[in-house]
Amino acid sequence: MSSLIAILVDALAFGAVYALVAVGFSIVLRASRVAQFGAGYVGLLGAVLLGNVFSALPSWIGLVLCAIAGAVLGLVFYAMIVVGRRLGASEVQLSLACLAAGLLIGAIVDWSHNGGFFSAGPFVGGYFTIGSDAVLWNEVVTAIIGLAVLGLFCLVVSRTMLGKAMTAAAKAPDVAAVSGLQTSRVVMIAWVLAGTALLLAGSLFGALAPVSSNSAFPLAIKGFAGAVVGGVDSPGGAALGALLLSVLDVLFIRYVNASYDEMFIFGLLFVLLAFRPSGLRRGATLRLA
Amino acid sequence: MRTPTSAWWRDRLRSPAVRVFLGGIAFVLVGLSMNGDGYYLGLYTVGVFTYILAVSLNLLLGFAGLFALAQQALFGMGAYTIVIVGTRVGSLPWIVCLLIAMAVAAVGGLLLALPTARLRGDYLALATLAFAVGFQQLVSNWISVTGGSSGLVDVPTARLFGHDIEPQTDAFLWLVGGAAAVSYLWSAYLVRSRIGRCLHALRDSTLATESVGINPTVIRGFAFAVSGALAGLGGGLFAAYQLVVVPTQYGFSLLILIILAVLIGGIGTDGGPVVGAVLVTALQRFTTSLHPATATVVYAAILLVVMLSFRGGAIGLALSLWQRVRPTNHAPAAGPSWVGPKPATADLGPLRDGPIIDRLAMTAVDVVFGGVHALTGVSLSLRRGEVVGLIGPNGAGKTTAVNAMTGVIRPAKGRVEVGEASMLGRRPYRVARMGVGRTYQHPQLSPGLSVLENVMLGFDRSARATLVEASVHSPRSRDDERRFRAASAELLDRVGAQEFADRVAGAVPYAVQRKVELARVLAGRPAFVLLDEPAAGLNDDERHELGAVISSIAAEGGPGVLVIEHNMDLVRQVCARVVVLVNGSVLLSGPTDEVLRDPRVVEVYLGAHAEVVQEQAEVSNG
Amino acid sequence: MAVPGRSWRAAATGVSAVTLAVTMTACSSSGGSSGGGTGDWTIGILMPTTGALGALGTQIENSTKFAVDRINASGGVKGHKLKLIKYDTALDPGTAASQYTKGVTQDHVLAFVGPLTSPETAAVIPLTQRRHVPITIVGATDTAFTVPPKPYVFRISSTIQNDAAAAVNYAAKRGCERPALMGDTAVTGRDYMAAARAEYKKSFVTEQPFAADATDLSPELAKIRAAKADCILLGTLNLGAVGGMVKKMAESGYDIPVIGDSALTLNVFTGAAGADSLAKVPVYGTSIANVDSSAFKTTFAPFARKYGGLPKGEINPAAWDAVHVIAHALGETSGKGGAALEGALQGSSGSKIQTLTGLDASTNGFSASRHDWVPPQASRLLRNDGTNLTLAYQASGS
Repeated sequence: MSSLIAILVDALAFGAVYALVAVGFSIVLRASRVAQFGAGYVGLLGAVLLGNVFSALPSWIGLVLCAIAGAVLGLVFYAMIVVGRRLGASEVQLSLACLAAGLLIGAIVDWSHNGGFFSAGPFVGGYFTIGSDAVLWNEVVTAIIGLAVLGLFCLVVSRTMLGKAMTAAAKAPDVAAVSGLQTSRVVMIAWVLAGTALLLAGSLFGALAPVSSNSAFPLAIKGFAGAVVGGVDSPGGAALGALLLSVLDVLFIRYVNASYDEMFIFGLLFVLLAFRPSGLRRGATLRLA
Repeated sequence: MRTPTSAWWRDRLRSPAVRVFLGGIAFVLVGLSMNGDGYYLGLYTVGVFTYILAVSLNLLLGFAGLFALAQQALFGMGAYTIVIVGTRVGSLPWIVCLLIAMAVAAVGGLLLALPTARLRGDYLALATLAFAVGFQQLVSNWISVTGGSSGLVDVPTARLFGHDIEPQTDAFLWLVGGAAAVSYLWSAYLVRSRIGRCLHALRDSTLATESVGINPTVIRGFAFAVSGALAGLGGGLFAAYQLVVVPTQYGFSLLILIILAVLIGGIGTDGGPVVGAVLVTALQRFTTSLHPATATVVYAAILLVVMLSFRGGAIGLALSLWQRVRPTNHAPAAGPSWVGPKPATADLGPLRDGPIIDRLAMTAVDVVFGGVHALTGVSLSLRRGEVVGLIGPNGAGKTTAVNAMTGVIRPAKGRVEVGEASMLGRRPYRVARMGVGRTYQHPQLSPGLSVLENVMLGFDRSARATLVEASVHSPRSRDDERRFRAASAELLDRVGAQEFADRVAGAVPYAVQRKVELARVLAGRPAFVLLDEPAAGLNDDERHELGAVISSIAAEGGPGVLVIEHNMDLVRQVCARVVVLVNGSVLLSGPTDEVLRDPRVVEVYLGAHAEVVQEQAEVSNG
Repeated sequence: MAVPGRSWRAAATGVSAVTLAVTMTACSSSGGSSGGGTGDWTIGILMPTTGALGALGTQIENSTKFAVDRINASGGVKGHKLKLIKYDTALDPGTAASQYTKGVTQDHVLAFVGPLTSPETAAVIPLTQRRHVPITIVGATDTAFTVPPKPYVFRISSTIQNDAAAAVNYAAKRGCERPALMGDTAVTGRDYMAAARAEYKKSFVTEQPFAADATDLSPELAKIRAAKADCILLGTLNLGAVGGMVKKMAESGYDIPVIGDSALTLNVFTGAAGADSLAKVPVYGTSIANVDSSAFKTTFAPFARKYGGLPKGEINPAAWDAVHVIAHALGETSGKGGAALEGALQGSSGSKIQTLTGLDASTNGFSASRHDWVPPQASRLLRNDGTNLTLAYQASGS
């Protein structure tokens, strides 16, 4: 039982990271119908920034700077999407363009590190023991920071006028436009928020484990999986889905088989997509492609 | 004998057989020019592998419009299978192992397809990505079978007709070249067959194509299976080339390379994979001397530019430049379709077994969306040979009712029956096959196909050749095409759209599109036809013509027709009976004249025009 | 009705494809020209100088270059200079095979230093049997490559079995009563665990295999902690995960010794674990470098000056030895490769060739029945404290 707490801390810390990726992915998917396939690399940049560029500063300042950097990067992606749309690109093509942009970011990171590992943390040192398990304070703190940021995002999206505007623009762009909503502005803000979420996700990830350029893909794919499980069309659902997946993942590793956890997670995802593409949340019975 | 015209040449050059012949000559010439140099033979061979993979992905991504990201896993399945089977099952000829590898990868493709055939683009991408990641983890950890991360090193050499075929030799190059030819031919014939037509239509609108009775899972599943088989062919040969199989070679970076090859070559074209494979191989050679980060920058930058601007890839770019040099006035033709002679008669044969279905009915149906009742206790029925109108104000639920009758929506309560059989919970294509056809408020033709091809979609179910036969252009499938072509021409004649037969559907006038949609529905020889606002956007003459067509359809033992309409002239012209739907419930139903005169109907539905209509009704009643 | 361009597409495609391919071919220099200036003998380096192990590959490249420069500076081999060409495998077996062939067919390489990892080696070995250009494996520990010996395949590094045996003996010497055993599920880990079991003959308090691509070893660490182990024996190439584990151990005050294979002496691992963690948790890796010999010390100083300060073990003495072995053999055959070179290599002995590896130079050597340069007991344990590698244990001595 005591090890359950250690497991839970682990799951929440990593889960918060994946949930941030899921939220970023979901916000952009709702607003633009574009899949941000460069998400993992944006995260990678977050780990690099916090761990290398801002390493001399106190952690909280570093995080704030990372958030700003994420916002700026989100803006850059948005600009790319706008250009692409003007040139007539479809959503699939824009999604692949995001992947390409992500690869560019990854290449830049690779250049500076030549494939080695780096780390962005820890935020605090020390540990406490529960039974025979040791729980690092760093993981607890990271979990708290991650969940706090997540909560903030979800609050913004669901409660504020801005958030509701985003929902409206996503579901009925024509109506939204007629009601005086500046759809393009709203979409831009969605990308900015997503950039922040994704970059911070990577920063926190770097505080938990050594990161290399190979970490981008696994980071992203677990976030995507969480988003789909929870319902891609809702950031709150996406976040919950990712958290749930993380808990399941950690439990599976501990109690079933450490080698096949990804197969389990993605098998689950595959089955879910086969029978309930809208995720675990209750959806309409409309059967439209 | 007449000298062949340029048009004749053009037709010949469009034939896959001719193309593969010409391509084969070029391939052999280049191969011979390498003079047996192992290094360059190796590069060339790897280029051919890239080509085979690009062809297999192009089939899904380019022609079927399926955002599938698991090609690298299917490739890996082929590679692992040929080694596992070759080393564990003794004394199997190598070629048999290769065929088994193709079969396993085809099954892998099917596994991918079955749950995803209906998914939206981004979901499909995620599902296939998840599959690929799962596959990698499986082969990295299943040590007893796949050797885990270290992979398999005891790989049997390729062996044909009693001779070992070593990698980096001429013989191996010809072997792989043969595989490339097979890949191209199978893919090219598939795309030009009815399967390609269905894939194209499914891509434009899965739902509308389903309504014609085409099962998306089967068609897409087949495409996935063929794509898998081709990837597996490449994988099996690749194993015999590398002589070692490790998980890292079947991962994400390979996927990027294949996507790049397909996209920069020219997606959805025959030549795209060739150009793409050449460019990617050249890129690889160019970047081996660079830091891999620099190489990634090059690849990523190219992908980015191609995605944003040169979406047609190199071939698209070449074509648009060619257009500038030699502009033409030809109307653009549809996708790669077969040009064949039109036979005199069209013999279709029976479309459906079983008893003649007499009645289509929905009984006490409720449809609920998120707590809101769109339909409450709605009952309506239709018999063969009668034309019934369904009228009501906007938002009354008329289209919802039709959706409920065609399997697009599942009612919360009530029954929907065709004859004796219940249709509840059946997929739209099943309902269509049971004899219920429908049209949509806006014509849901496949804009990229020709008018004739759109109608031919309606005959798809009566094909005699199997999918496999169709994909290899068998005589029976050619026969099918001839029959469909002739029958479609007849139907177009019947609805009065025959002069537009070879035009691209997206470019014909609105009224003609409606006729074509109707012809497509009739192709299925339905027992019932549900028309959703067929007169919208038509002028008076066109509407009258439409009315005549509707009446003629229902006449002489024809199907029952349900017409959703706002235009009362048409309703009066063709409908014997009318059902009035208001706020999700049936207000009234009965003979047309009676219903249209009823004051409740006049008040609720017609509103300000009430008096005018009432006068008209009085006038027409004398 | 036909779209213009469409029927020309095939022709256009065909022509452009042929043109491109022919251009590529024409640019190649097929046909014999001697690889280099008059009398130069060409050696190839077949290493991943880019990618995840790029830093290590680069170090090996530097060591090789250093050795070659030294030899050339003192007049070369029998008056012939050595020419070095680098081939980057990018850690991909396919590329390794292709680069091997390129070196052999284009650049007339006579012998290779490398490959580094097992998959690359596995891909290259079949080609060596056809092309008859020898390779000297530096790093890959899969025993099967040289046992039984294959022609043209030599190894100047340890085998994982010898590393595991050394680790077990060191643990015993340190007084470890409750050792835990960890290994990844790849060949490295599996062979390590099997060899450790064979050497230890008793039971480990717990055995924790983990995925070769795992990112977090907390579950395994928790179980080891629960079993109250007093040291960990570890065989893996997964530097990131082990680095993270050592970090976690340092941060949670769990400072039992971690005794691993050669991977734990690498700079990449030091970067992943962090110098702070390595100062707190005693971590040991194996190496066949004869770090305390005078030859090593005198060699290292100018190397450090030229290539920047590196921890001692990273000179990769195996690469140094490889160069000297190849150079000596080429001297014997007067620059001929193929079967003659194979024969000469098989006659190499540490008593005649300058060597920085192994315990006693005279125990190093190749023969017809032995293609491993160092004897089994040559695996030493070095402590990696984050800044330096210091000798902790070697078989035949204290």
